[in-house]
Amino acid sequence: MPDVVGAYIEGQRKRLASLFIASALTLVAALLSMGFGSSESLSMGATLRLLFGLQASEGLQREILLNLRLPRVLVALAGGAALAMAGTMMQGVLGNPLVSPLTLGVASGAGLGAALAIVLDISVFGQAEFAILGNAFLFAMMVVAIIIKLGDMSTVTAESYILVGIAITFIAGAMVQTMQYFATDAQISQLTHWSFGSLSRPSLQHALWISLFVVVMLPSGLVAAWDLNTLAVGGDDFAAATGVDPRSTRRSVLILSATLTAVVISFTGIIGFLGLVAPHVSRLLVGNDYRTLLPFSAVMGAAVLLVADTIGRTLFAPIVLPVGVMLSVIGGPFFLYLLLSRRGRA
Amino acid sequence: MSNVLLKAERLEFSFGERLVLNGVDLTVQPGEVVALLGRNGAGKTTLLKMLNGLLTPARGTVMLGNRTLDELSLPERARRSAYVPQSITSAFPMRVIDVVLLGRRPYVTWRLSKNDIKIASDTLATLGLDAFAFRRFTELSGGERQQVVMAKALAQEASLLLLDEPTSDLDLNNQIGVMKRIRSVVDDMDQRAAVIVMHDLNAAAAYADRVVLMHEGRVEAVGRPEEVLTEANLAKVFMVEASIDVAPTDGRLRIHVHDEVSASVMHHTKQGDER
Repeated sequence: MPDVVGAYIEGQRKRLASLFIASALTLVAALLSMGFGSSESLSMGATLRLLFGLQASEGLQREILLNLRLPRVLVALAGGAALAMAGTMMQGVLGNPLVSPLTLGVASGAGLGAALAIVLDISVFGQAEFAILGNAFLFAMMVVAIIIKLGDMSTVTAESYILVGIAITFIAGAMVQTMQYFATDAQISQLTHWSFGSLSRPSLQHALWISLFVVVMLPSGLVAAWDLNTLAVGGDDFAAATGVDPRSTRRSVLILSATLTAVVISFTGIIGFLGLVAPHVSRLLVGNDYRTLLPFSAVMGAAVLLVADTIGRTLFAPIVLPVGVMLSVIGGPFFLYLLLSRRGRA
Repeated sequence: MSNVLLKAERLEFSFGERLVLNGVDLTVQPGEVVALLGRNGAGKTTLLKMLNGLLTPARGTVMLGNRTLDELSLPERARRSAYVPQSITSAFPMRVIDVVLLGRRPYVTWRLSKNDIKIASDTLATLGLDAFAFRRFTELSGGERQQVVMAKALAQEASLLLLDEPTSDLDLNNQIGVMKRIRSVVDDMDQRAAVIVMHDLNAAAAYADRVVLMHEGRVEAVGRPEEVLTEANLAKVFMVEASIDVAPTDGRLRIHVHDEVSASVMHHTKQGDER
């Protein structure tokens, strides 16, 4: 008789080890990334010393590090983790591997909000940037409110969420297009830039807020890991017969995912591919048990967004390529390679 | 009456206009295997789901042990009764062992103990599935998947097993194997019972202690197989002509179905999808 217990425990140990290694590698990559840029490159040691103020700053170095590169890297890590985790959780509760954080229409809502602010030329405290950000967040949260309302209905199913998300995406898209029709060239260009997705917008203060928010929210996703497992394996009846309330689990997980998405996307613009790819790459690498899958895809999302952005801003420096574009250019082929080579174990 | 695992009284349920269950009573004692028989749309699956709280009756009550379903939290229900649906499809390729471990969900908050893993592993062994432990659930055949879900149900260590056509996707040999295992799970463990929706009358006669014959949302007959599986009952409920005898070798009831009952009486029946 095969030793199933031993093999299982051994497998868990390996997954935990790969989670730690992946986290460590991502942190090292983050430090390295802060060393690269259009100005002089820094060693990892120098980056660390400058960050913690242990080394007297020469000229603009510390300034660049703290105000340009650190926020970027923080947003890449926190935003990547949030979008990847949102995608992984949503796939589970909706029982559908094609779902991504964009499916619920949160990003389209944010896009509509941003478009309104740009086209109506709104500014808050004399700053247009604030208005765009705030309005994008406001409209994204309106979509979250629709999701909450939907969750209260007794007849709601996984499909209803997806269909409502598609409807919101179409409606918001049509409204944005209508606005584009009447907008000036400058406004259209600004809007297009917003929708590219970029990590350069958030300030250090914004970046710290986003990171704090994500760090506080992620554990509540982890708590749902078992419930996500039951829903992902067998759907509603299976979950209920296993002691899990499918409707309330779906509702709370979707609200969490949508809120994470709303916060990140309002600051960065639309980053789409990550929330689909990071979950799947993680599934291929560590399997589908949400207890390890969730933290692993958070790390994977952080790493992929960081690498894509670092390449995007260094490849043709000083030109910075939008991270959304870089993600598709780098992530797409990598994803295809993983899928086609079926290197995934477990 | 203290020693009753399940007691359902006057259950009523409708899907829209259609009355699916119309005053159904059912009592299950420990040690019993109860077969639910009837035509498609007779309300068997609806009843089974109601016994597990997956559907809420419009009227009537279900008691698990000494508590009504309403008084029990979902994890408490899952510790008392386990449900195996007819078929299960999964979008994500979980490993078999991970699926079986879900049966421990009602007992754990996050961390699995070594004992939980051992229970899952032992259940796989009981069902002869240990070689499958690290294979992907999605890559198994329908019958194998159903077996894995049964292993998950057993890992729940619930006293009441509710099985919806557990042999529908299996070959002849496996059908007998599964029925025997259900029988032995009920016989070997104290205070266990199983309620099984099935279509194979001979298997019901061979392995069930009691048979509940459902017809148009009502219990037409209930009792030992030889009391319920009569030519008259089969003609009325299934619209078939059958002859019934007892096998001289092992004394089992044998049901031979010859033909459908002539068309003149057929127009009375309403057919519908079983829900």
